[in-house]
Amino acid sequence: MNQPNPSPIVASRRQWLQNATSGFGFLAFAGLNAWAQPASALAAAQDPGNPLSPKESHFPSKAKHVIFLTMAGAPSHVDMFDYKPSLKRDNGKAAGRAGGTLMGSPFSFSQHGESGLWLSELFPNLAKHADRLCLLNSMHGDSPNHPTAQTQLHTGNFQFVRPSLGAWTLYGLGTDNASLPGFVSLNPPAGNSSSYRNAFLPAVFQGTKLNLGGNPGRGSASNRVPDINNPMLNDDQQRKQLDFVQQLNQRQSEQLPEHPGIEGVIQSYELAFRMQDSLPELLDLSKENQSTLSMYGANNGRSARFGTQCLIARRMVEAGVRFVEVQSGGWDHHNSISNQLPPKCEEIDQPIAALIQDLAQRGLLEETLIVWSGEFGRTPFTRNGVGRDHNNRGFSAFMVGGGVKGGLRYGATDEHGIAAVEKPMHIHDFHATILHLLGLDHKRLTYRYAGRDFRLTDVHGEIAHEIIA
Amino acid sequence: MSRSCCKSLFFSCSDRRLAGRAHHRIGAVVTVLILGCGLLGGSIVAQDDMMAEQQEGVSSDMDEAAPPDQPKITPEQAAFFESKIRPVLVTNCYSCHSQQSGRSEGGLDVDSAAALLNGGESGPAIDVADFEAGLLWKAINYDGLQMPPQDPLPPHVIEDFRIWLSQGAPDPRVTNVVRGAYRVTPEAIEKGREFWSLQPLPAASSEVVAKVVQTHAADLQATKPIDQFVELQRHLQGVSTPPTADSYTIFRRLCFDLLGVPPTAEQVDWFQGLWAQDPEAAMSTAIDFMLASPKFGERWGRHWLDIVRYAESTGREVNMPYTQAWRYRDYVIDSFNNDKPYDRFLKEQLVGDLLPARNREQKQEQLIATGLLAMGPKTLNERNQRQFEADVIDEQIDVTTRAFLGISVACARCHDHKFEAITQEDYYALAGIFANAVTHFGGANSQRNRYVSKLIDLPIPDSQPAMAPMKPERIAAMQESISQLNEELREVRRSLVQDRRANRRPGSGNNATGNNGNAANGMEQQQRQQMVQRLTAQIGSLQGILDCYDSEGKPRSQCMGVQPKPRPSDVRLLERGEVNQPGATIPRGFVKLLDKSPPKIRRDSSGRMEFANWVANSENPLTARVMANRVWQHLIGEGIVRTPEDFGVTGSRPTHPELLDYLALRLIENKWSIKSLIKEIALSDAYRMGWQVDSLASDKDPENLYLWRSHPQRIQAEALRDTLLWVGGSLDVERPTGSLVAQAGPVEVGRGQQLAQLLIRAATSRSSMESSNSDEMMSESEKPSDNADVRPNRNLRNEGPLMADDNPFRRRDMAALNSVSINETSVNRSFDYRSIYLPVVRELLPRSLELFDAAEPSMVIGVREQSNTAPQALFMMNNELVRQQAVALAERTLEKTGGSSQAIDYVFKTAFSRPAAPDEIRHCEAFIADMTEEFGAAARAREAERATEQERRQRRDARNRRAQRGRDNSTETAPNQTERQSNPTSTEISPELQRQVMIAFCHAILATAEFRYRN
Repeated sequence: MNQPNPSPIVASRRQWLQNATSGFGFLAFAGLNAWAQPASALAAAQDPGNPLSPKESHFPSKAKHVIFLTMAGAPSHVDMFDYKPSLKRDNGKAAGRAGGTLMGSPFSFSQHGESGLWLSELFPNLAKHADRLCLLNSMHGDSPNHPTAQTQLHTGNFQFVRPSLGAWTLYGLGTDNASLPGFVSLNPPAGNSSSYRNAFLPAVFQGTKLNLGGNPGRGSASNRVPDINNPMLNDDQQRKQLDFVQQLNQRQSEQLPEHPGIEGVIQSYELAFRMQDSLPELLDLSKENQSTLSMYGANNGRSARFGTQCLIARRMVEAGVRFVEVQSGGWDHHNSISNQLPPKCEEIDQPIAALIQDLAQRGLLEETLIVWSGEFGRTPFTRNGVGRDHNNRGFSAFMVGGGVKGGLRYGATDEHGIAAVEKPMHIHDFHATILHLLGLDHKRLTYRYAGRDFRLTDVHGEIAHEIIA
Repeated sequence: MSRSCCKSLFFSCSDRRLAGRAHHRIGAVVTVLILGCGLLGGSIVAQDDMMAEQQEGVSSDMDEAAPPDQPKITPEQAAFFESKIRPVLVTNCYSCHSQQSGRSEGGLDVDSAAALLNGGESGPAIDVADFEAGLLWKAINYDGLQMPPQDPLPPHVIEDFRIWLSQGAPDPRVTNVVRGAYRVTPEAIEKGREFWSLQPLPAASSEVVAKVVQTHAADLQATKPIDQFVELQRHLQGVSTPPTADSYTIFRRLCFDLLGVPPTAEQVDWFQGLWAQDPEAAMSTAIDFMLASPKFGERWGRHWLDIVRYAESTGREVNMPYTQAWRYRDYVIDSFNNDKPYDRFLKEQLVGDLLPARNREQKQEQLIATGLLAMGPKTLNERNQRQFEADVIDEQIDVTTRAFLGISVACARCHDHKFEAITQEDYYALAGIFANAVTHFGGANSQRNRYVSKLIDLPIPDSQPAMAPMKPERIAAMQESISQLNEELREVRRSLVQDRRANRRPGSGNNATGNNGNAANGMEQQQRQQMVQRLTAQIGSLQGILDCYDSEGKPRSQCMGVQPKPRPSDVRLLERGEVNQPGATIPRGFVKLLDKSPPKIRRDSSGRMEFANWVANSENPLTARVMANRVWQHLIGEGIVRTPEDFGVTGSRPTHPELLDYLALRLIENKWSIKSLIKEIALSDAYRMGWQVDSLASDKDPENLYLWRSHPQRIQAEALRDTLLWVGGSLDVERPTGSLVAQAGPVEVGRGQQLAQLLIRAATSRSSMESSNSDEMMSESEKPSDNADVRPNRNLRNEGPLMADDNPFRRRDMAALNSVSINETSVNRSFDYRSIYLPVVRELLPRSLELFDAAEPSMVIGVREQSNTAPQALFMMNNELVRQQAVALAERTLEKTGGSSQAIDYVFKTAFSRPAAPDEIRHCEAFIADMTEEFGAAARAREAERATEQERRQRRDARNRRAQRGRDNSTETAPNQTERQSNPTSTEISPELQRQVMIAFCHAILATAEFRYRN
């Protein structure tokens, strides 16, 4: 059905294919030999026929990129970012209606920076950036189940297959570097495609998942991308071969003008060939100096994996990638908070602190929004005396850079940290705010699918204007 | 007894954790919803009459709120309840189990009759038929459960409960429900029936044709009915008529559409010969030829598997394999190949277990067919059994209504459908039908899998089982392990019970965080608890494997599917779809919107047979239309209704309504023969449409709704991989027995890596038996050998399932396996059967399929994406599968043509199904010359380097020899001389160079857009 589409950006898959076709000749054949050069990458990125070319945001904004750090398993907010003196005071008391016994955090909290933000001792490095942190202490979501909550954290919806935050962002803003994917998901857990999938959005907006950064405890990082090189042909030979392929494609396209697929194939080879050069180089950390690697903790024990990934995320943002997600698993601490939580925090504390510092010293922090969150939090009470269970009624996230206020604590849970009570921030609100920081109106960022206009925030979403600098 | 008595212990220890978790879910949902509803004017549920009385505006159309099947309560009974029972419940139970308190520990509320009957996670609290079996009765008698937890109720109170329960628990508390403003009214349903897709089909296809021809006869050129309808729409919409495509394009189209692989070069020539004589006859001959090929079922079966979300695992977090799902896959392929009447095909899938069977073979086939209902995605770690069961039913409703009827009923699970006139009652009427079937999906217990279900034994033993047999000694050993583990389990359970007793003794604290004197402290209890879980999982896991074998170690012949429950009953409507909010009982039935006077369901029938007969019926306005639309879509490229799963209000309208009716009627008139319908469409002129550029038509009809040109298709993932293997001559066209998933055995996929490993091993073990150099062919980085556990096991077939030769309980370093995936180099490379036989593990699709938009196996997919992405481009440029097939095609080409000028033509015909045009030949020759020069120069450079190196080595060797004196050197110099002789001269092209160039050429051809398209 040829229905009018209110989306200001891309009307429909067909329409952009049509645009692409009318813009045929984008990077004409003369340009093929210059593929690997940044200038042509830029030219490709700016071609209006390319669905990934940068687009005007709905309104001016500071944040241009997102680094989304997600902690799968649900980290315990009251031991990390939600300081609850009353919980300590009421330790051992019945948790009231909620059941269980209240358990004060075994970790001490102290104030940091000029803002005096309360942070747990588990984050000695991150605490140095207290005045840059915007704590969101009143997060809440709809599901206490890991998979569904993960899905909601990424797509807003926990029941249906919907595009992820990164896919929406790429759809809304396009990307600056045509030699790299615009949305990269580093090491998403197998079995959860919700974090990077495009669902009904055109496939170009899908996250490119890269399994990088080696494995914990195994030392060397293996940064491999599938099919990134051809062992049979050298660069020159492959370029000759590709020129020939494109020549045949071009001929086909002349035979069948306006063909929706051929132009897509031609474009895909352009990006692919550029990625062959740019991606391995981007992922090659051997040229990073030792002090940078140490800063991220990328070369030592616990923080090696996450540190390496944070460093790669920084390199990607620097290279123009729009949205990078880094996932960390293993935060489901039912059995012992005091034993299990400290090593997990050690994995991420130094890397995140380094990421903030590194982006800041490169002048990229203002335009890069770092977002940290789990799929939900944990209960302030305990049922076995040592661990905490699932709690989606109140938890914490934080943001840094990208035009958010630093040294701020936004919203609050009740005195024990069970439920969000003050300025509650539902995941929909969280999404609406992230899009807003990127200059996108969550109500206008729509895509027509199955006869209706879909949004990341469905019919919900309140922007937390208070956190915007 | 005070309220605080329920503080910490609830149910048994093993249930405590669950209860806590359930509370969070329920608590949160209730809070959010009640607040939300107040604001949004949604629904409010008052579970207690005292609260209900304060509510105003109780909806009058909800008089059935009191469950109709509940006996009438006498005034005496009501008085007894109010004086003896209710106060006890309020005082002792409400604090943990009521809407008022906001707590529903263990998922149980006791503040309404419905909630008690519905029960919690452990099951219904009251068993009306046998009250002593009810959990409430057991709990107050401290039989298994202990309620109230601190002190038992006094004997006289227990006696009151005996009286009450033995009378069938008469409960005057009424669940009053105030429903939200949005309700589907009877008028809306009446109006909804006027929708186009619900109109009865005309009496006969000839009638539809006559009507169209009569009104427009003068204008119509076309002679075939299909083309008359298409032409009529073109006229009406004012778009042009496309040219006819050339015969090469048409033949390629036909081969892809019917078989999923292109023609061979020889077949291309064969068809051209026929076409030259008589195009009509050529098409007819070619179509018959293809419809008779077993490849047809493998192509069209895959379309069906897309829409029934076929998969070989449960998906979601636990992801347990469905080891027998492949039988359904084969059933579908065979059904299409045998042209099973479509109505029969549907019936078998819905009620194969209930249909009479002439013989064992038919019985077997029908049982397998019901696998459709069992293979949906499942959340095996769902803690609430009712939730799990409701989700299974929801999935069955969703797939049957969308796949067969093109209408989504599942939207009405939580509330009346917002767009269609489908009520929540309709949904639960249908749910009642499915609830009377037991779903069998197999699987083994694990620490996270809470739902193990037996498979259905098939009447015919497999002559060639999909799993390897297991040695009887091994079976005995496993049985031995099970009994040992059971002993251990009993031991741990005993000590747990002792701990509990110690904790209950007067004077001992009841604080889980503290030490309790001589009783085990919380930590130890926790460990014991975990031990129980672990042991149970280990036993379940072993049992799961054992269940796959008979006592002699022979794999059992089993399938997934459904079986009827003995006594049919209805289900309750769930308010907002929440399992803890049961409402009225809904009689089993059909969707009111779809049939004014649906067939009656007998009391003693589940209604599934009636439902199947109603669906698979020529009177049903949707069934034939939906399938005819699918067939059209798979041949023409776009459906007449472009939303094949949605023939409702939110779906697209038909572009050619009369054509759709005509095709639906043709399907019915030809005894539901899919092949006949395919043939008629493929013989139409519409099928031969060519491409054209027409700016006027582009403006008027940019989406090409009215067929003013063809709809080119990117070849689907399976067909693309098949085609790569096909043109390389490597495709094994036989059907493999079973599936790699069956060989892997019932082991939890977990995050995906474990099963990936097993599949890789299954695949590599196959190839290692067939080709000795599979290890060598794997490049270093691709070898899954960093972990000693995953080395290919060559003796697999003799050793039982892959699962069994590991200790399944050792926790693997899951993260260490992160880099392994089912990629080309493992499964795909060594698995050269058609792609429909590749393992379809949810969340773990083989890369070659996932990359090219294979159907997401957890969703009903009627239309696939057709993307063109950079990772696809990288795949075509670099992937080993593609490179290998380029080599194979090059070698075949050289063999057939001797590298003559015919080589280019041969490659074009093989890859593009057409000869090369003169200008293309020039391009190709230029490339070949260029690459010959390039590779020649490279070879000469390498050779020169090698020669220099050799000379150097020779001189060094000679020096050494002189130094060592007296050694015979003639044998060493001879080969060097031969090697030097074989050096290519600068002008001559060596066979090796020619081969290299031909490979680069063939690879380029495989990488083109044309190779990936059916235009």
